[in-house]
Amino acid sequence: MDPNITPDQAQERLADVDRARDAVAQRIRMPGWYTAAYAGALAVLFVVPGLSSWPGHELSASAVRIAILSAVVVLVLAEAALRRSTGTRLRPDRATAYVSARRPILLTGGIVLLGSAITWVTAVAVSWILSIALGLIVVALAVRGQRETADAIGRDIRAGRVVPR
Amino acid sequence: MTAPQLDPIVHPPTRLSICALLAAGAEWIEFATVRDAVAVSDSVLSKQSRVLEDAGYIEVRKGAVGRRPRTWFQLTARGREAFAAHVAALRELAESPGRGAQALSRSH
Repeated sequence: MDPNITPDQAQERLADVDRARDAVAQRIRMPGWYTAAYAGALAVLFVVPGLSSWPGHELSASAVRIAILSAVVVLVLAEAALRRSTGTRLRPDRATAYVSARRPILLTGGIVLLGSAITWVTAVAVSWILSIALGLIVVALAVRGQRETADAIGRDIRAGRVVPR
Repeated sequence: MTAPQLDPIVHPPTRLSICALLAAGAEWIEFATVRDAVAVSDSVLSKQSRVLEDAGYIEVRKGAVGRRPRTWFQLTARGREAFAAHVAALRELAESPGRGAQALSRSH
């Protein structure tokens, strides 16, 4: 096959490359079911500290362990199901590969880490109700962070800004 | 002045689109996703992906979810280099019509 082509054909091929990027970017999304599973699992993780300190309704240590383990399993299964439904598996080094996603990834990670510490400390030392309220705020912020991350990854892919390995 | 070098393995439109999808930024892309995005049949994608795999440009991983077979594609380092060089050559051709014509005239 003759690999020589005209400038117009070269333009068309480059447009095909852009279309391919766009097709992949469109696949990077958070479907409603995934958002629900993610938010639900996080809600369990961040509400458990408050519920376990509810006077007269304290949760046993094994109940807390089961709740936390179940939430983690749901998160892992939801991630696997998301990969199957989108037909794409993103790079594990997301914060490095997708430059625009670095900020929301770090922010979301920070919120989750800080949130888990704050909700436990608040539940033990301040108020179980306040702990639950803070937990729900953390969940809302984390879901928003996940959405922003997905949007940023999509933008980087569309713009051809993904850092090569 | 040399003409831009187009990679004959990546050059056909279907294979270029497959490589472009795999180079877009995801680590792995599933067979059905590639097939739908490139708008080809299963057999055409199998044939074209085999050429890319034989050239060492893509890695193919087969698995199963329940009873359903699943095939995933990934661009190899060699494939990424070849695709990047091909796209650079296309840009060069597209931006300098004189050179494109020169490349064409050399082939005839």
